[in-house]
Amino acid sequence: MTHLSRLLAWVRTLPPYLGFFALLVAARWWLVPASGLAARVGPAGSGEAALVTWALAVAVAGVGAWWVLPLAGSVYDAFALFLGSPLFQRRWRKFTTLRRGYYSFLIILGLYVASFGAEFLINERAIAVRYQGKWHFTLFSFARARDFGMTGYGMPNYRRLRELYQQQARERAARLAAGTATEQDRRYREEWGDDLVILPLYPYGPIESLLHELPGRPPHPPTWLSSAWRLCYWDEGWFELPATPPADLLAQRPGWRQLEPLQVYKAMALEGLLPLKPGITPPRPFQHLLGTDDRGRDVFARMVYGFRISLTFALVVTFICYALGITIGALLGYYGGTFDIILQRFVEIWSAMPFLYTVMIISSIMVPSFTLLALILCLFGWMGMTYYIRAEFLREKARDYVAAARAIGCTDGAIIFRHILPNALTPVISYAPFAIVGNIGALVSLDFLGFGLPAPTPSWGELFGQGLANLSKPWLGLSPMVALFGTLLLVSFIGEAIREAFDPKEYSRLR
Amino acid sequence: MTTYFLQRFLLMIPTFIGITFLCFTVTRFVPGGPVEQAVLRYQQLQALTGEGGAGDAGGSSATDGGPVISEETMQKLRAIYGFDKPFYLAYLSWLGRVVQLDLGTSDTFARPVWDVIRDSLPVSLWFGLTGFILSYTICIPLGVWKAVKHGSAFDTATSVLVFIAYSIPGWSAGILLLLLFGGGSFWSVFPLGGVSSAQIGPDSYLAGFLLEGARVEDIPDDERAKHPQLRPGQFINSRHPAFAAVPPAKRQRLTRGSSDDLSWFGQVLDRIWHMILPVFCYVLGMFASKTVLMKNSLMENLGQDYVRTAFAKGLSERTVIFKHALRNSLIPIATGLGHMLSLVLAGSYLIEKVFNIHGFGYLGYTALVARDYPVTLGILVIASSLKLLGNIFADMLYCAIDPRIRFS
Repeated sequence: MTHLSRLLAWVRTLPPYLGFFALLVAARWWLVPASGLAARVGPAGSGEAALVTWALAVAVAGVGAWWVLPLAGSVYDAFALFLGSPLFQRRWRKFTTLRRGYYSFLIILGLYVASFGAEFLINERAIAVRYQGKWHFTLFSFARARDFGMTGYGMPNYRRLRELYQQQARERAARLAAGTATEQDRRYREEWGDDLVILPLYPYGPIESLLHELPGRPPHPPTWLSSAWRLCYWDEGWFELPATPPADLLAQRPGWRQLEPLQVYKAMALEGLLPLKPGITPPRPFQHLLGTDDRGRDVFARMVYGFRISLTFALVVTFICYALGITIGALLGYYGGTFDIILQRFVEIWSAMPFLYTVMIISSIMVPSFTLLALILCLFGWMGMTYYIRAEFLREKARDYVAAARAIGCTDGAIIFRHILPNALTPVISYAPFAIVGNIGALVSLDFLGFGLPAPTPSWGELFGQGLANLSKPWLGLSPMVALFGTLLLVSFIGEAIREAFDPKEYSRLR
Repeated sequence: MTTYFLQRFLLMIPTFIGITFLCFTVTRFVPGGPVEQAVLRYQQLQALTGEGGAGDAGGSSATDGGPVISEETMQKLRAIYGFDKPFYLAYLSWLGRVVQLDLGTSDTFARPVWDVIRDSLPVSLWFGLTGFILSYTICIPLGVWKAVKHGSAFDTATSVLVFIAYSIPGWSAGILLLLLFGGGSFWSVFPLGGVSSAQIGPDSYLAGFLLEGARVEDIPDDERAKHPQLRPGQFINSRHPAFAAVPPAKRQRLTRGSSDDLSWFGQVLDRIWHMILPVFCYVLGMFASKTVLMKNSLMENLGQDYVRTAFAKGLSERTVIFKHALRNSLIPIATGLGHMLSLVLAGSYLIEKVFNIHGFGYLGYTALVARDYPVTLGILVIASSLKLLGNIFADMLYCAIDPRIRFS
């Protein structure tokens, strides 16, 4: 920890223009292209787009290097002071004793950290491939199917590749045993070893369509739900029907005797008494835990990636909103006067907007990316925190320690960030979980309405929409329901415990 | 005080202008607006009728995907949709018309925006108000009881309930309820949405409330001539003016129909049947915050000195809580009434979308999807003015209820 803080201290001694160039590079090649703003001015590669990209990048880097970074440094100091204070330590210890909230915190933190390793666990790409003795790490790099001895173009289907390798290995073993081995077979045995595909634990991706691998039409039921699958096979007409209903079965089930033969066959099929036609292989029981959605994509994979995106989005939006809210609230509270009155009016005006509808209007028109949607939500979400910070600053700036700091000649910046801010951060901590709940909810609702993240992004709200459109396919609606409910419940448990630990209200009891 | 509220009313004007200007500007500067859509429709029409197809029009039009539209036509199109002026002038003329309560004509409905909105408002109000009143009648007693029994098993149990309600957004609970009770995969108890039944079959719950009716063929010819819109094979119900002329022997109880064919009581039942799930969602959305607010407010008051004094002079617990403390703790709840209208209207995009209720929020959603900017902006005008008025109204209520509050 001390190494980290020493490193941070060293970084902060560097001159600001270094930060400017670093930010310029980041903004020019990542942030501005990611927001997709330049593409609205002209096609990629055109003069206007390049001009806008460069101008935005320079603006972002300038503001970042001379305003945001120093500000972030000061806020970091304030938080370090706040988090290092004995009062905070005591409150944190109290938080850890509130079991419900603390365990919720640990669960959410664990799941969130684990979700960053989701590519290694849930992915349609293989982790590594050994082909003719050479290892290829294919998780993040693109590889052609031809490089691995498959036919066809584009990315290989690694699940098929593994089957192919296993089959080839069997054939090779047979050839070796029969003594008709080729030169290549000998090299495989002596030099390369058998070809290998190391797949992730759950080898299906969130965006990959499984239409060609699963029988029937999507949405497919969860693979362990055999009754629903039998209904699918029946609808497709994939059962081998006997010539007449078997007499011994009818003797067992007196209720079936009045039925037409076709109905008897259907009843038999749904009970699993009929064989499938040859050539149709049913999926393994735990192949797709939550089935597939209406485009044949694995729901479980989409849920997991959707969790990471939702939580990241909520964290980013909450962070930016709070950073803006803290800065503006601090300035309002500290300087007061005309500045305060004018900006207060502005905040009032801004917060009187019909939030959801305005966001819907903007994002329906601009088809937002992750960055742009976060920016839009931040634009309308920062006002809440200003009120609290402003009130805290108004109260704190009348205290003696502020007067003392001023008397020894501290600058305004030092007073705001080093002296007052560490004492004004309690509402930030205690409202943050509820803001996160709100932002997750906002993203899911926008996605549900179709004004959220662009189409193939795995999102819970989009699954909700599919669930509503396919009410007879309950796994589509229930999966995001359970996930959203669980996440929000855990986060609000954290919020309750934090509030209890940080902002204790002692109520008198009647008895 | 009067000057304060006068100031607030005057401050509404810049706010209103700011909101509408932002959204108006956004609608102006993005591709895919009404002019482009009209051009696209025109091109599709041309392609369908085969006039000036892409094949013989040369290379330039083939890249555009359709025949070229002359500059004159484009100018006319722009003028129709008001895109011929720069955006600030267009905004000013739009604002001038809004001030005269003219919101323009909808692009998709081809009717005045004002009429379209007026049709949808009562539906939203009906659902929203019922939900609002129900949530107050549930949350206030529950909050009071939780405060009185603070720390008891009842308090803990209902706290868990409050947490669960807080963690389920109302609209997603609607999807869950439709999944469970809409007949898709589990039980078929409630309708899938809408405001009233479009079809009532013989096996419906409401079949017993269908009116008497008659076949159109059984109406005497001279009476039938007065109603040319009736087709053979249809049924009329006893509310129809032609029904009186039908001979009693030909009258029969209807076996199928829509909600119009229900008796008065049946229509009420039908309405309630359609309202249960959406209203539950409305209540769920407000349940957690209102209950906690009520509880905390009463707890706050129970700790005050005047409550101790009241206890000390020997008043019963019932009198102290319900006559002294409760009155004061209702103040923050009552001010919520000020936001009622905007909450009822603005908070319902999602629930109305889920339950397919063609109300205000649903209209806003469909207008956005169809890029119907006059309706979109009209709804924005109404929603934002309601929100602004609601804020002021809440403060006025606050002043009226609590004489200690002085705004200046």
